Amino acid sequence: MTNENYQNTDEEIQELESRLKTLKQQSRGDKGNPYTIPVAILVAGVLIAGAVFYSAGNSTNPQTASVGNNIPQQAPPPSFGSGSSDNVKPVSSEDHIRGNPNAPVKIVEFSDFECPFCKRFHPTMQQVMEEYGKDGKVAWIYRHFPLDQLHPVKARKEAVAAECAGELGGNDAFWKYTDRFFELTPSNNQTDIDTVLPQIAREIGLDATKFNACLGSGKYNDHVESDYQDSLASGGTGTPYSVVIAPNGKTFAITGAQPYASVKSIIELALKEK
Amino acid sequence: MIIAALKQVFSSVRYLALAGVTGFAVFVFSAWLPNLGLIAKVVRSSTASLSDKLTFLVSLLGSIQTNFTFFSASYTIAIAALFGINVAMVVYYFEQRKQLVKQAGVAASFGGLMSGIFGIGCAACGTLVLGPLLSLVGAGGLIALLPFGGQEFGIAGVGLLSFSIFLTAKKIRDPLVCNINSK
Repeated sequence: MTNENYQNTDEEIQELESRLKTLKQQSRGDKGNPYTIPVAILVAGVLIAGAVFYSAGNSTNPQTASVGNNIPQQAPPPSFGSGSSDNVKPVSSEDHIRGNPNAPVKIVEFSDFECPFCKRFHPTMQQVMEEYGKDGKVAWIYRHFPLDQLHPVKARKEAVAAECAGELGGNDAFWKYTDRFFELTPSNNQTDIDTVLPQIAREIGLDATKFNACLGSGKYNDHVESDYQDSLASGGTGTPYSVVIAPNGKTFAITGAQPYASVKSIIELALKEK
Repeated sequence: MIIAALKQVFSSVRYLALAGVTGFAVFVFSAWLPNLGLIAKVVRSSTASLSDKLTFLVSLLGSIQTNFTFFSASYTIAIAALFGINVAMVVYYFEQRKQLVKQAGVAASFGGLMSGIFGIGCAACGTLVLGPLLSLVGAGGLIALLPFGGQEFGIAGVGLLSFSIFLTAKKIRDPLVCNINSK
C-alpha cells in the first residue's frame, strides 16, 4: 500500500467518524434531550419572574412621558403597576383628612368600599389615629381606589356617596359615613346600595333627599376618577394601598391590609426621617 | 408507598431540617411578597436601627392573618409545607441515586413552584403577582372572570406539589434493579 492509499483511508475514517457523530446527534435529538422540558420550564419561570418584576418595579412616570424631538406626547393613562409612591398627589385642603392636617407624618390610604381587606384595615388605621393622632403626629388621608373589575358599579357609587356625605355634612360627615359603611356592610360586592347608602346618610344626620339628589347627579364622578388615577400613578395595584409620607417627603408604600405592628414600624421610621 | 417513602426520608434529621427551613422560607416569601419594595427601602434605610428592621420584617409575617382570607392562608401554608417536603425528597433521591431525577419529577416540581408562586400572590384585593403580569398582555380582566379570583393557581400549586411528592416517593421506593419481563 502506498502512502497515498494510507492517506485516503485516514480521510475515509475521519469522514465516517464525522458521519457517525452527526447520526448520534440526530439520534439524541429524535429521542429528546432529557433536560429539555425542565430547562424550558426554568427559562419560562425566569422570563415570567422578570416580567413580573419589570412590571412591578417600573417607575416611569407616564405623566411626563415624551419621545423623539422633545415634542410632548399626550400622556397615556397610568396602568396597574406602572406608578411609584413618589408620584402621590400632595395632600391639600381638598382631601379628606382625619387628624392634624400639618402632622409630620401623613398616611394616604387608597381604598375600595367593597374590598374586604379595606374593611379589615379600617380598624387598623383607627388604631393608628388613637395612638398617633391625638398628639398630632399622624394624619390619615382617604382617597378612592374603586376596583371596577372586582367590584363593578357598587364600589364607585359608594365612593361618590361618601363624597356626597362630605359635601352635605363636611369632613366630619365624610369620616362618619366611611366608618359606618365599613362597620355595616359585608363587602365583596354584596352591599344593597339602594337601601344602605341612604340609610347611613340618615343615621349620621344628613338630609336624605339632598343626599339622593347628590348621588344621582354624578357630580363627584370626576373626583373619584381623579383619585383612581392618582392611586395608579402612586403605584397602587390593589387595595388597600397606603403611602406613608415622612416629614422630609420620603415615601413608604404599604401594600395590603398589613398588621398594626407593621404600620407602626413604618410610622416610627417615617417620624425619624426629618 | 408514600408513607414508607416519607418515613425513609424524614427518619434523618438532616432532611427534616431541610424541609422545615425550605417550607419556612416559602412562607416568609409569600408573606413578604406584596411588600418587597418596602422591605428593600426599610432594609437600606440609614435611619432605622437593626432592631427596627428586624421588628418590621417579623411583624410582616402577621399579614397571614390580616392580608389573607382563611382559604388563601390555608393553601399558602399548604404550598409552603409541600414545597419543603418536595425539596427534601428530591434532594434525598438525588443523593441516594447520585444522578439527576427523571424529567417528569423535575418538571412537576417546577410546575408546582410556578403555580404556587402565582397562587401565593393572591392577597388583598387585586392579584398581586398575576395582576401585573396579565396586564402586560392586556388580560388584566381575566382574574375577575375566574370563579375564585385567581386563587385557582394556589389550588393548582397544591395539586402539582402533591403529584410531584407522589412521583418522587414512587422513585425513592423503586428497587435499584432492572425488572425482568416475563412472557
